[in-house]
Amino acid sequence: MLVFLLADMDLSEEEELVKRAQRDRDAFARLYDQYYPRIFGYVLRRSANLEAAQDITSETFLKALGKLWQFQWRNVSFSSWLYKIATNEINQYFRKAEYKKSVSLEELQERGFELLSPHDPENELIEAQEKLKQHQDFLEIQGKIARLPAKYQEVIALRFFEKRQIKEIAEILGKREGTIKSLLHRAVEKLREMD
Amino acid sequence: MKYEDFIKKLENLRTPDIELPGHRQALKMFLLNSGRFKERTIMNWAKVLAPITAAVLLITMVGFFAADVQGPLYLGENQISKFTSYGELQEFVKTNAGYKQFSWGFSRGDVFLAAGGAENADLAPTVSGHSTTNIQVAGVDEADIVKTDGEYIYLVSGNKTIIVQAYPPEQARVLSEIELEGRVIGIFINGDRLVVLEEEVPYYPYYDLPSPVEKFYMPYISPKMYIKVYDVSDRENPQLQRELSTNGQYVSSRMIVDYVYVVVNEPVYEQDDEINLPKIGSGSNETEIPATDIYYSNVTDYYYMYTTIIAINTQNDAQEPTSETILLGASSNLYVSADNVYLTFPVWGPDVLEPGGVIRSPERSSERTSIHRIQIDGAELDYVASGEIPGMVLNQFSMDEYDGYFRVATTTHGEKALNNVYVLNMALNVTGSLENLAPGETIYSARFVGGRCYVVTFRNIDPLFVIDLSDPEAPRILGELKITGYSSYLHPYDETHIIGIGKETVAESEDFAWYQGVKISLFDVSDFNNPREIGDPYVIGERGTDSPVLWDHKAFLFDKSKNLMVIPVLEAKINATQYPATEYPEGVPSLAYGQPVWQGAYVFDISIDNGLQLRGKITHVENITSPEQGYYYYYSPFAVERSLYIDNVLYTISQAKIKMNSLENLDYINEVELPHPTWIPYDYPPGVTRSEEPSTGAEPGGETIPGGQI
Repeated sequence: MLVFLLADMDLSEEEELVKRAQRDRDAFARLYDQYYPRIFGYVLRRSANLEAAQDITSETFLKALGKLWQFQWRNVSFSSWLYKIATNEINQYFRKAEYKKSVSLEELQERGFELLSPHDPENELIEAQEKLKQHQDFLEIQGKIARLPAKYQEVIALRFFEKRQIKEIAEILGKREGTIKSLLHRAVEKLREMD
Repeated sequence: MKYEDFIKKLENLRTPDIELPGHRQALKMFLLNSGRFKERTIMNWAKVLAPITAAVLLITMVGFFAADVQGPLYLGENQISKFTSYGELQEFVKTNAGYKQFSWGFSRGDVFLAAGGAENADLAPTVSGHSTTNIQVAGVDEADIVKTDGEYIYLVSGNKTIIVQAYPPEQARVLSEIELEGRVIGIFINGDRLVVLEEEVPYYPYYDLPSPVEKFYMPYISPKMYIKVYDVSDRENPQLQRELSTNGQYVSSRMIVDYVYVVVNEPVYEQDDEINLPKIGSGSNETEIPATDIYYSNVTDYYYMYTTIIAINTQNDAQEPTSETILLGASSNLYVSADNVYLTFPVWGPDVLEPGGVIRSPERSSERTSIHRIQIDGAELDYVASGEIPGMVLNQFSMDEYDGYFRVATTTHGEKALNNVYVLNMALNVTGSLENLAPGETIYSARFVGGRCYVVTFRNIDPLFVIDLSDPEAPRILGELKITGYSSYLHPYDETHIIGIGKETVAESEDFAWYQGVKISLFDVSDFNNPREIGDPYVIGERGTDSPVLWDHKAFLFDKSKNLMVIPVLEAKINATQYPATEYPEGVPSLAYGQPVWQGAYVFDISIDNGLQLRGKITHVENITSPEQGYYYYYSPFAVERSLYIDNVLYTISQAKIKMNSLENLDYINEVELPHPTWIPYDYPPGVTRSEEPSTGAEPGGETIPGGQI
């Protein structure tokens, strides 16, 4: 049934997939393939730290897998649901002195998985670090954003980096659209003051 | 800086978009190996894993070969050869196996067997007083989990095959159970011979993911497939007559007259510098198929698999099994006719990696399907032709053989999905084609009936196309009908009417629609140019409602002479109180998802004059009032999976029981409890509460899940 090979699956297909992913590896794998880049990108743009992005992304998907049965297609899309988990993980990561990880990349590697992959994680990371360094403008403003309270960081990142609509941000953060708008306004003002 | 300018600066900021493919892959493997899927989908997982592991072994051993970018598409015959020696096979595999990232979306490696050259099964009149499995082609039986011969019911439950005295219903009882080590995939019944297809999947140590261990190479352990033939002349005491075994994963099977044909896939892998060869075990003997008996086609692919077709005479135990092995590429589909087996292999997927591990964009992937025809005649199997067409095949119903031609409907994904119908001759050269149908939509179902083909495509609305294939060189569209919803299974009612089963939808935008309840339509195609829907469709339940018929045609029961149609349904209803008018002034939104409220068989009267009339409903979920009641409807042993009739008795079958009702008025007659594993409502970890984040929106309440059932 799941042999459709669309680059961007349509939502109705995704809905079926989410339902099946609770018991079907193939379906979960498809969702993962679809969302890993977005979630990893989001976490990286929030943290500007590749190691943290790896850990938080891992944690996000582990949580998502564990909680998939809780997810129901009601008021929130699957994509917003994943962003929501990632947002919570990011906040926890930066709130706690020691972030409790369920699994580290080293652990994944120690279990032999890197042998399955043609990628060398160390080189990959070094290359990625180089690429990240080229985004000086971003890193500069990100450094400022990181000094804002989490509630401002979230809205700025989701709005300007992830290009989410206000409605989606409201979904992800579980707040009203009006609240998001005023948070966004205040966040931009605070950031501007620092600029 | 001014506020507006600052906003602009933020909006136009170039942000890093960096990928870590190694992490992505490692995490994926980790998640998919986690205990989460272990219990319920261990079989699927092994199926999925096997080719990956093989591919990986080839990579690690053979090294990295840059994936050749394919030239332009071409159609026509491919060269077929047999290897002249083991050395040649080894050389071929080593030089041709490039790196391929296994495509997960693609990993349903089901080969669809479909029979051709015979009349459409649905239009063949039934003569016996009992129903049979809903199959595609008359005379070409398909293995299933339930079979009947009009007196007994044979059914599969986990690793057991159960024989039940079914008729007369008053005397119904379990006669015997055959318990096997592995999982039973399906069965055939042929007179006093019962054929049981069993699959044993190796237990991979990393299922458990123990504490970090030393680095290890993942060993490849092949799943094993058994074909067991029982003499059931004494139904209370079945006797194993013969047993065949082979390495690899079961793909599909058919039974034509006395012969059962089984298709098995086994990855080609290299261990200790040796390339494995397929083996077939018969009794205590195991025969390796020599390289010189293995065919290969020059279709380029990125890793290889042995596809072996085995033919067994179910009635004559002395006759040795015969087989034919072809070395082909990755995942496959399959269709079988009375005279031919057609293996179809998708040649490309968008996940194929470019050299260096970059994921190929869909625009650059040219999806093609290679088709291979193996002629079958009793025990004789001959690989005779192969060819290629653009696009992907959805399932066995997208293929058909008729009047010396093979017809196939495909979808080409990419920037804009396109749909095509091809007609090929027996040499598998394309004689005619109809391309670029319904741009942007994908095929949801197809059905070939004689010289015509019905195709349902869908994006946000369902066009049903009627295509004329009577001229194999010039297929053409006769007519088209646009309605809401879609059909994922089409069943011919008669020569000029089609039953469509799918879902109702509410279009949200040009390219999106929300699925609603299960929809059954009756189409009149007697005026080919103007297909029309007879009356209103019958819609069951609300969003969330489902039926196994949507993905498994064997769950469908239809008998025209009895005006009977039965389908298992999981019915969902939306709790309107969750969508108060204060928050939803326009009413319950289309995306609202229903909760399961009922599961069982919907029994319909179906006729051209009166359309669809509900005769009644039968459920096996009774007397359950516990809070987890809803979960009894989902995949519990009480979920009705099949239905059949013998004489005037309707039998509905779940893992827990067989229930017998009068076909006329559905009055209860009797029921037989079946041996089944104890079941606990879904797998909530004990004591887990739903109040954990994510909370708002994703989950309404904060109620405690009934704990401690694990």
